[in-house]
Amino acid sequence: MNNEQPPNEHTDPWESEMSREFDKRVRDLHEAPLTFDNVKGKAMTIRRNRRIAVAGGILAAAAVVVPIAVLAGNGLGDSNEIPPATTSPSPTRATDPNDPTPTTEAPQSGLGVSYLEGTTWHRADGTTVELDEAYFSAVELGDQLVATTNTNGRFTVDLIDADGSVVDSDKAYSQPVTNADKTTVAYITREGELMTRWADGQVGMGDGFVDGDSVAGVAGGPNCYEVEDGCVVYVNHGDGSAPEVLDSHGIREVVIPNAIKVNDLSASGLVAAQVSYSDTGSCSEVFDPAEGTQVFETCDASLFAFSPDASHLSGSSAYLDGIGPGYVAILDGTTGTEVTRLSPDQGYVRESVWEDPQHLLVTTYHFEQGEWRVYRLGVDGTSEQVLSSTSGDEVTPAFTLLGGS
Amino acid sequence: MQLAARPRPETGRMGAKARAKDDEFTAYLHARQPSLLRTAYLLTGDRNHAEDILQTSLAKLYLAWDKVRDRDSVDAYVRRIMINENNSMWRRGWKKREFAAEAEVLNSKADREVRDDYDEGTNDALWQIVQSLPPKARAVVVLRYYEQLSEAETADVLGISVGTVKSQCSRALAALRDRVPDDLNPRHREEDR
Repeated sequence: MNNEQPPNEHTDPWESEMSREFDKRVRDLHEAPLTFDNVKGKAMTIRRNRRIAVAGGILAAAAVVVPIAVLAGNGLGDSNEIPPATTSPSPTRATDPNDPTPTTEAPQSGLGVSYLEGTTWHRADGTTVELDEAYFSAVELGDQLVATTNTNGRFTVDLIDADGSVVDSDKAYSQPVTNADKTTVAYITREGELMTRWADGQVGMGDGFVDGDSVAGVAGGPNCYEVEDGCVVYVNHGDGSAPEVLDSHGIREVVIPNAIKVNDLSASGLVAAQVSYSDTGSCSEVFDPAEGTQVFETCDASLFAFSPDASHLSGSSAYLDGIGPGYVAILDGTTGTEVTRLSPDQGYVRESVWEDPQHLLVTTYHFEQGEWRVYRLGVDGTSEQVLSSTSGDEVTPAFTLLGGS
Repeated sequence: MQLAARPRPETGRMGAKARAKDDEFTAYLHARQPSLLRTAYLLTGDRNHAEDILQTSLAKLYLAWDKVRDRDSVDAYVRRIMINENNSMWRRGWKKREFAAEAEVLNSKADREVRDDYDEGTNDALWQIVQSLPPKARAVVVLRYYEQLSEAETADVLGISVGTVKSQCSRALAALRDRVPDDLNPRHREEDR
C-alpha cells in the first residue's frame, strides 16, 4: 500500500493531539449494548424493506417514475465536484432547493405532466378531475387513469375514466407500468399472472409470478396480442434473480444475464439495469438488447430513468438506502457522466419524472420547513420550483407525478 | 421458448450451515462490538446515534456475512457501512433531532467521564471542532487519527482520493490552529517540557 504518510507518524503536534483526544474520548467505552437478537432482528427488517422496495420501486418505463423511498445515502463519492444546479432566472419562481427559506406563493400549475395532489388529478392540459380517494401511485392510459392503492404492500389497481369514476379494479402484486406512448399498461395480478391492458382489451402474457415480482417496463403495443401489435414486458424478481422478458410470441427469457434489476427502458429499447449490489454501493449499466452489447457501466451512480430521447438519464448515488436519495442527478445517456444535480439541503428526493427531453421534474421533501416541493431541473443546470405544499408528512408526499413522454 | 417456473428457495428449517453462520457472527459481535462502538461514537458524537448506526451496520454485515470471504477485512467493511449510514442519517435532520434531548444528557455525562486533570481546555476545543465538521470530513480525521490508517488506506476505505484525505485533514488542523487559544497550543506545551 502506498503510505504517503504512514500511520502513527504524525509530524504536526496537532495531529498527535487529535489522536490523543480521540483515544481519551472513548477509552472508557467498553460496552457491547447490542445482542445477537437485536442485530438479527434489524437484519430481518432491512431484508423485508428491501423486498418491499423492489416490489414497489419501479413505476414506469415511459412514466419514468423514480423508485419511491427506496434508496438513499449520498455515499462517500458525493463531493461537490459537480456544481449544484443554479436557480432559474425567473424572478418569481426561482427557488434554490438548498435555501431553507420558506417559500411563498409557489405556482400550482404549469407542469408538462399530470400529477395527483390528494384526491385531485391535475391533468397536463390544466384540467382537474376529483377522485374518490387519494392514491398511492398512478399512470395514465390514454385519457384514463390507472391508479394504485397500497395497503401494507398489497396493491389494488383501479381503472378510472376521464370523469373520475372507477370502471374496473384488480388486486395486484405490482404497480402498473406504461409503455412510451401511454397506450398499454402491465402489472402482475395477485393470481401471479402478468397482465397487459390497453384501451379496449387485455391479455395475460405469462404466469407463475409471486409477491415481490414487479413490472419494470413495457415496449410496443398498444395491443399485446401477437397477431396485432405485440409487446414486450420486462419483469424484475423480488428474490434478486435475473429479470425476465416476456413477449407476445410466448417467449420468456433472460436477456441481460448479469442484471439483477431493470430500472427503465428507453423508447428505442435500451435498458438501464442494476448489475451488482452491496452495502457499500452498486454498479449499473445501460444495455442494448438488440445488439447484445453494453453501452456503458458505472459504479459511480444508480440509474433511474431515460429521458424521452434517451440522451440523458436520471440517477443518484451508487449507495442508496434509507428514506430517499439525497440528490438526483442528470447523467449523460451514452457515458453515465454526471451533467448536473439537484440536492435539497436537509431533505430528500422522493421521485423524479422526465417532463421533456430537456427537463426533469423532481419531488423533494424539506425537513426544516415540513414542505414538499416540485422542482424543474434542466439539463443545462438551471432549476426552478414549480409546486410546493406543506400537506403530508415526510413519507406521505403531497404530489405524485405521473410522468411524461 | 416457454420457461418453467423458477425454483423457490427452501424455507422454514434452520440447517447446520445457518447455525454455524450465527455462531460465527455471534463470536465476531462479542469480540468487536466495543471497538466498533467507539468508532461509531467518534463518527457521530452521539451515543444513541452511534448505537443506531452500529446496529444497522452490523445487521447489514449479518445479511452479507457469507459474502465477506476475507475475515480480516470485516472491520473495514463495517466501518465503511457505518460511515455511509452516518452520512445518510446526518442528512436526515429529523433523526438527529429525535435523539437530541436525550443525547445531550448522555453526552455531557460522557464528556465529564473522559475529561482529566491534564486537560486545560484544549481537548474541549478540539472535540467541538471535530463535532462541527461535516460527516465526511469527520470520517477522514477519525480514520486517520483514531484508527491510525494511512492516507492511502483512509482514501481506500472512503472511496476518495489521497489528495482529498490530505486536504480534509489539513482543513481540520487549520481550524484547530485558528480556534484553540495560543497558550493551549500543543507545540508550546512540547517546548515547555
